[in-house]
Parts: sequence; structure tokens; C-alpha cells
Amino acid sequence: MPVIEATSEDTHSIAAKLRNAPVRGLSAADRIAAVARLASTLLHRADQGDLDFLAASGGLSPAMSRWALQMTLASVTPASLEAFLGSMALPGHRAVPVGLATVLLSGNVLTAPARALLLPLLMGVPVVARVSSREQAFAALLHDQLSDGCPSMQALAQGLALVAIDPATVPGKHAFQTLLGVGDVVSVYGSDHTCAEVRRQLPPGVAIVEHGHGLGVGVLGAAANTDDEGTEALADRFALDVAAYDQRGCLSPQVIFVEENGWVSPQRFAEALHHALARLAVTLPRGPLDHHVGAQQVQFRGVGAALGRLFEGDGWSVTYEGELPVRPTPGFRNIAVHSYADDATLMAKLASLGRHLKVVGYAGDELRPAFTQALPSPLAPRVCAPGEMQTPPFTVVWDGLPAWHGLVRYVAT
Amino acid sequence: MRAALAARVRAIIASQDTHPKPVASEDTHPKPDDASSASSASGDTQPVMFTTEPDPSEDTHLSPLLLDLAAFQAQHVDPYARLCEAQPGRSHPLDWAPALPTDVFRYTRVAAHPASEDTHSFRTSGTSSGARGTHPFRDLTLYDAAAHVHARRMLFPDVPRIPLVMLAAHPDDAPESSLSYMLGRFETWFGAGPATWCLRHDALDLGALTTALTTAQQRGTPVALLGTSFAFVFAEDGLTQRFALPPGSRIMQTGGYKGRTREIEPAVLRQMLSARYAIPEDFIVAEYGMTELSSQLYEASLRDRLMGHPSPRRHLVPPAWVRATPVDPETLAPLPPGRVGVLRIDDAANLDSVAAILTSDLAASAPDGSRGIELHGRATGAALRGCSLAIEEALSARARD
Repeated sequence: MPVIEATSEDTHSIAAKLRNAPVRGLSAADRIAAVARLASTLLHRADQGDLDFLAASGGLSPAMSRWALQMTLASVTPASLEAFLGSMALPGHRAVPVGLATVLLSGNVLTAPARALLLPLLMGVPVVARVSSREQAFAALLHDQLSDGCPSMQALAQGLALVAIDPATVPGKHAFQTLLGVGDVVSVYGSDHTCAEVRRQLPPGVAIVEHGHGLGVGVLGAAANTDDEGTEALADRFALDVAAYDQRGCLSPQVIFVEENGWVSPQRFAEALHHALARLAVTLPRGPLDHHVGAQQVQFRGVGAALGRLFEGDGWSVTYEGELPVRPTPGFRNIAVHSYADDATLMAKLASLGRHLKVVGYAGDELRPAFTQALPSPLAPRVCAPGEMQTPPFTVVWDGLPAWHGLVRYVAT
Repeated sequence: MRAALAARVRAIIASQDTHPKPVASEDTHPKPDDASSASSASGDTQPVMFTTEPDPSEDTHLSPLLLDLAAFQAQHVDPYARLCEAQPGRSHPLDWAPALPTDVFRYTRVAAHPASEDTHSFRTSGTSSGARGTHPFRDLTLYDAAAHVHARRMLFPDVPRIPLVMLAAHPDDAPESSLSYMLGRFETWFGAGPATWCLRHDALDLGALTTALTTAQQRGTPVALLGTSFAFVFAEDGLTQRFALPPGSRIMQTGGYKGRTREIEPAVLRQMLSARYAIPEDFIVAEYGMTELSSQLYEASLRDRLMGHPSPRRHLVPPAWVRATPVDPETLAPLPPGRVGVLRIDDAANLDSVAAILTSDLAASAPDGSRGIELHGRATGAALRGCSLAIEEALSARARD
């Protein structure tokens, strides 16, 4: 395993070595080729053993782990990476990569480290990453595959260090504080509380890019709900959004709002979503249920049954809750469907989620721009089609910031 | 029908009420000197036990009573009726009624009677978004009977009365707290004189606590300290002196920390309390109660020690009218001993709400095959969420923005 249990001293020496890593001297073409080759290798050569390993570590089923790999890496092509680097260009300026990025990973989405680790490397920025205590397998797999690859991939591997640090211990606390100070920028993935803690402990002169709490919602307006067939297809697409990563990510939908007076009633849509989740469970089964989530699931489903309608199956549930207040879902393919009367009501419900609303899956291609324009401030979610909530392009704008934010500095030429 | 059901519940509770009648009449306090008999639990001599039977076994009338209660409640409690319709036969292999999740108490009224007939309403302490559950009562006679009989058996089996020191809010200060209500009743039933109430507006009166304990120490009179875990931690953080409380003294601590103080593992907390007050760990008893219930569970250690059990047990013992069952979160079927699941509690004293309750707590049946359970804590999904966020947290965070 390439994950190092690092002390404060280890962290210093790792950082010093990374700042001189060969990735800094690698040409953009070589970096593009290396990242694209890594993605291709993972996509096409990951065997059942790898998938079982990832599944066991990440808590997803092997089938969902494979799906996650495909969805995360399919858009990592030489053309897309070249376009991304090209998009960084600023007239009259040169983009200069920072010397070292520190990344604090979260463990709830299996393949999230791909973007967090590979984009800096693509830009020529070495990375020291603290892996999640819960999920280390995918980051380790990335490192292993890079190390076993061509010389350019090996150069990337030498620019990537994975460390495990437990700040609950005294040596871990020191190591963590060191980690926060060794890079030019810290990217933190985690809860709002984690982000705030990191911000508080950050030494002067180190930038921070926060990826805090988030959630997604689905919206099915009456204008997109005009016949049985189309609405069933939409249910299938929303079901994929719910099932993806077992609904554990910050892009996972927690509720789907269905406008009244559409062709299919909100309650019937909830039932259609239930059937869609049942179909999906055959090809993409849910991972094992943790006791804690199990207890929350019991509450979620029971409240749905007692106050609305519950449609449940072996590994998923849909509650129909009308216009009741939106309430927590435990994830793991437990989703609530709520009705709304008109756009004003919907906007008020969305506004209550504030900046935490990171993605909206909105049905109706031609209606999406108007919906997006009407979103009240400060909402700035990514608005996409149903079925695409959890599969943003690899280099997509994230939390309202371009993917290179914090990783480059611009020098006038 | 309600009256007949109430009589059946009352009969089971009464069948467990084997101790002598209280030395003083209801609602009057004996003089503090009456506590002298409490020293019988010193350990030097075999204490006089008011109840000498082993753990209460499940009453043979309980299963049919629970089914009849469920039928009555499904007729009169709307959310429970909907649940029963939605989950027909979920528990059929054992012929158990569907159980209502405690969260339902947060979103709607759970009662078999109209609000106009409420005499008391207890409320939960809330969540991050501030949503609180409410448990309305038409009367508290069953609650009182249940609390009295089981506390007598598990907490005070050897003493008719004992000075009480409360590390919890007085019922006047917390009229919606079921714990404060219960402790107020304990003052009447088991207290040797007025209790010392040490928690006011979430602040611990360390002076009052110190005075009460020093007095007990000087007089050689055992005391019972009853309160919440976080209040005991407040005391631990605030007290500078240690006490050598007389033999027979005991502690009942209950509840989680709810973010009010640092959290301490139960075994570590017991060690701390034992060292602070010189009370043997077996005399430090955890209580498990919930706003949504009318009965309580207690650890068996004090009772076991008094009865000469060679290795007093730490698991929680339900009274005869309560069934505590860890269930599988997916199938809701009971789990075999040792397997951790979601704690289901069937409390026959919950006459006017719903008897069958699904908690958010994790538990396993006691390994000794008794009716007891080992608690594995409150479920939390935070560990799995990472950067994802439940809507409730988003809404509460939004409120703080």
C-alpha cells in the first residue's frame, strides 16, 4: 500500500521531496498522456479482484464500483484534458502551477479522489493527500497504477504522496498541522465543520479551497410530465441519480419535487420511481447497509409510511410526502418525493437549502435555462438533466469555481 | 375498550409490585432521619431486600395484550393506522404488531385521544434543526405506576427512602422533560426529605452539590445521585474535591450528551464517578428512558450485587410489561442474541399513544439469554456522509448563515 502513516517529520520530508518531483518538469503533452493512459488502464484493465477490493473498501457493490469507475473516468480523454488546460489560458498571461497542493479527502464517494488528485498532477502540481480513514483503496489504486505505468505515469506517481494521519492522537495532531502548512494551497473535501476547522488551523500564506457540505434535488415540472412513457423514462433517469454511489455523495438527490397538475400525479411518480429503482437494483445492487444507516433508514421509511405513502423494496425505498416539510434522508437509496403547486413554491423550497444546494436534476431540456435563470440568490447549483446529477464531466466547474482554482498563478507576459 | 386495556396493563405492573408499601403516605416526605435504614446496604451485612425475585420475566399476558393495544391504537392513532396499512404483516412470523419510529413523534401528533384531553405533554430535547418530538398523555397513572415499580426493583430494592441529589433540572424548570417529571416523582416516592436539585438553567450548582454530599459524608448517610450523563461530566469538570460517600450510596445516570459537553465512554464515566464519589461501580447504574415511552430500563448491576450475584451484569433490564428487542433494520425481524440491530421497544404502559416503538438506538440482546439488552449507542450517519448532507442539516445550517 502506498499510504504512509506520517509523523510531522515525515510530512516535512515528503513535502520537500514532492516540491522537486519530476512532474514539475514534465511537458503538458506528457502529463495529458499520462493521465489519459491511467484512466484508460483503470477503465479497461480493472479486474474482478480490483473491483472486489474497491467494493469492500468503499462499501459499494462490485457492480456499482465498476459503474463508478466508468462514469468518473470515461470523460478523461486526451482531447478533454487538452481542452481543459487550454481553457486556463488568459490573454497576455502565463499560468504558473503552484509548488505543492495539499488535499484532504473525504471517504463517502469511492471515486472522488480521481478528480481531487489527478487535476493538480495534470497541471504539473505535486500533491500530498491525506486519505480518508474510511476509504483509502481508490487513491491507493491510482497511485499503484501510476507507479506501474509508462515513464510519464511514473513521474506523476512520484509527484503524489498519500498519507494517513489521525488528528485525534497527539503525534497525529502535530502531523496534521504540519500537513496544513507544507503546501501552497489546501483543498478540503468534507463537512462544513471540517472545512471550518481546517480554515481555523491554516497557517498564514496558505490558500484554501473548500468543498463543504452539499446535496442535490430533482425537479419534475408539469411541462415535462406530459405522458406515461416519457415520465417513466424520467423515473428511470432519476432512479440512476438516486442509486449512484448509493446516494452517499454531495451531488446525490435527497428529494424530488414533482409539480402538481402534470400528466402523472406526484404520488404515481413516486410509485414509478420505486419500480425504476427495483429495475436498477438488478444490475446495480446497493452495497451493504451499516447499522447506523439502518437505524436511520428505519426512521425514514416509518415516517414515510405513517405520514404519507411508502414504496419499499429490498435495498431501496421511495416515500411520497406531499407538501410536508422536507426532512432528512439517510441516503442509501431512500428518497422522498414531494409535490409543489407552482414555481414560486418550488423556488422558496430550494432557497431554503442555500449554498448547500450543489446540483439540480431538472427535467425538460428546453425548460432548463429559464429555470436556472429564475433561481434565487445565493443558489448556484449545477443544473443538469435527470440521470446526470452524479456524473459531471471530469473537469467541470465545482462549487462555482473552475477546477484550477488555487492551483495556478497568472504572470503577465 | 381503553378502560379494559388499562386494567390489564395495571394488573401486570401491580403483579411486580412486591415491595412493602411506602413508609410514608403519597406526596409527603418523611424526615431526613428516616434515611437511617438506607445504611443497611453497607455491604457489611446482608441487606434487607424488598424484592427478592430474579429479573422480571416477560409476563405471559404481555403478548396478547400488546396485540390488543396495537389494534386499539390502530383504530385511534391516525399515523399508526397508516403505518399498519403500509406494513401489513411485516412482523407476521412472530405475530408482532408494526412498530412506530420515534421520529413520527416529531412530525405529527401521536395520541389516541384529542388534544383537549391532554393532561401532560413531554417533549424531546430536539435535533440540529430544532424539531422536537412530543408525547401527549391523557393521564399519567400508568406512567407513575411503571416508573415506581421498576425503579424500586432496580434502583432502590434495599432502601425504603434515601436522600436524593438530582443532577437534572427540577420539574418546575423543565415541565416538558419526562426525566425531570420522573425524578420529581422519585423525590416523593423514594426521597428522604426534599431532594437537592443541582441543575438550574443548564448550569450546575456546584455549591449545592458539594454541601449535600459533604453533609451525607459527615452524617454517614448514604445518598443517591440521579441525573444526566452530561451533568455528571459538568460536575466532574467543576469539582475540585473528591468525596467518600457512605456505603449504600448510588448513582443513576441517563441519557446522551447531545453535544453539551465532551463525550465519555460509559465504562470510563463509571470509573470517573466511582473515583470521585467513592461509590463502587456496581452501584453506578445507567437508566434508559425515552420521551416516547412510559417505562424505563435499568442496568442490573446494583440489584445483582445486592442479591449476591457473583458477577453483576451491565445489561439493561426491562420490566415485565416491556419487551426490548433488537431487530434487523431491513426486515424488522428480531435478531438472535449478540447481533446488533435497531432497538424496538414494546411498552404496554404506552396506552394512549403507541406501544410498539422503533428507536434510533442500536442494541444487542444480552448474551446470557435473559430479556436484557446491551446498548450500542445512538445511530449516527455522519460518518458515512462526508461532504454529503442531510436536508435537515442544510436547513439548520441555512438558518445559521
